[in-house]
Amino acid sequence: MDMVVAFFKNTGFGLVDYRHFIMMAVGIGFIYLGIAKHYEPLLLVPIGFGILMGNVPIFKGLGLGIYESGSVLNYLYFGVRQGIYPPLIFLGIGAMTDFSTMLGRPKLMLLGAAAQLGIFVTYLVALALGFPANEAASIGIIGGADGPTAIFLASKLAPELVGPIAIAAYSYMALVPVIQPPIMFLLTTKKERLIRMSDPRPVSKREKIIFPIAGFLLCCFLAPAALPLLGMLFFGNLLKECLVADRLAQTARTALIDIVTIILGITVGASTQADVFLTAKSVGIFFLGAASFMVATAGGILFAKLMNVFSQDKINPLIGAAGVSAVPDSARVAQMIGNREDPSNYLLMHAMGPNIAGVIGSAVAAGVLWSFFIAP
Amino acid sequence: MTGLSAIAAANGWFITVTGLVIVFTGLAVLAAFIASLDKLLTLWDRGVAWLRRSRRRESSGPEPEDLAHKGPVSLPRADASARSVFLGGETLEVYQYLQWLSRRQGDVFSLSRLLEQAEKRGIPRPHFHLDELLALGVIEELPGDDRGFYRWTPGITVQPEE
Repeated sequence: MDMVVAFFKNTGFGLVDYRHFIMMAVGIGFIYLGIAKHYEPLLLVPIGFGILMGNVPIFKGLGLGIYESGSVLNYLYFGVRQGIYPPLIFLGIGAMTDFSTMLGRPKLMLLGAAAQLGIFVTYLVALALGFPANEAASIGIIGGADGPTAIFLASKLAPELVGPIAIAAYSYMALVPVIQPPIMFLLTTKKERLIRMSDPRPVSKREKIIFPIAGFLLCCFLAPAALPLLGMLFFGNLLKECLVADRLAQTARTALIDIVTIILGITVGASTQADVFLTAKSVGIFFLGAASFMVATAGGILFAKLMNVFSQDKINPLIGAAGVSAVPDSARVAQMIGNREDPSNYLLMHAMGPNIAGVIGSAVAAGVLWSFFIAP
Repeated sequence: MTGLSAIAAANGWFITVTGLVIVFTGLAVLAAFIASLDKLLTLWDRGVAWLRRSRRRESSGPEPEDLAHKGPVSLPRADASARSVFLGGETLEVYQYLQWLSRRQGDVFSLSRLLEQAEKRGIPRPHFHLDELLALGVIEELPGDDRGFYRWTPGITVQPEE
């Protein structure tokens, strides 16, 4: 009988406490949102399952948990801790993204810059709330709405917060269709939402090939710390556009990004072990992350309105919300809201410009923040 | 430490303002570069075309003034079949890509296969440009048994539009 009791104590049923149940509920919630609601399923399903994997109660010291050196999950988590996976994801994003909408109307890139306001405002708020500067910067980057960038910066500045920051960033990215519309309605008038934008100019193949090279050099001279992210993003895009490296581009935008996404999702999810994750700090990060996202959305919209004051060629301010990155969901939300007001008004193409600029802008912002902290 | 003093102690204001300025400057300079890229490329094309013309002029023999001193000369008869076609920026660019793509099939190529390859590689409006090249006679269909296959019309010189 003693053996049976001892065995039972060693099982998950014997080791479990309420925190594991909370985290498992979160994991199942993620899986539900991904499968039933189609919110970023490629991210939420692996992360959700990773949360379940990370929260099965286990004996410490058996080399099973993600934080135990030598465990399989720990080896896989190495890529997150060292910031290896985010640049690989950026390579895939570059190889699958068509920059032509942004190149056709370059002034929309400023909306991608304006939406980075959320990062810096949240950084200030986090400082004011008592977070150390490195943690405040890592929390602020959630407003970039770019999971890989958030993980990259957190892994460099506050490795112990990678889990909560990644979960917050991906959660808000998945919840773009829920978070952004109220802010978009609040900050725009019906007349503004009805603005029809003129078509961007056609972009030649040569421009598409020159852009990744020039863009990379320019951005990385300005913010060298963004080199791993922007280098891979622009390199991926060059592979796509140069026409002579189609095999490499094909691998980067399919197999490579899929493999890295699976490993990243599972390990980030598994890093949310209840005893490490369920802290007051994590709750604070979630609240600040949401605020950051909202400020970023508002920043993009308000800047679009400001541009309309000075410009003859009017911009529909809804596309300013797409400046928060979260490719392509925030552009889809701009299209959805615009379409609701006028079913024949197609904003998706226009919104992709600030959306892609947001990816570049958030990577530059991450580089800038990192360089402030590595500076002697 | 919390509040404004925490922000000041961590150089928060400076980092925020500098960070925002760098992000804005970076994207604004990139936007300005992209906006002028089209014009820069047109200028470049003009320069290259001018260089080619001047080289051709240098290698094409004596200037008219020299000839006037030597009196009338019998010029070689121009090849009746040779002619020049002038193409605009995008069409010229697509023409060059299509030539490059068709080389894989050889001198004679299938138009549908060329179109498929062009679409796969993201060449803009390949139907339109192929149609234009056919209309201008830059591409011609082979006669007789080879009907259905195409080639680049021999003796045609493609030049950039002024």
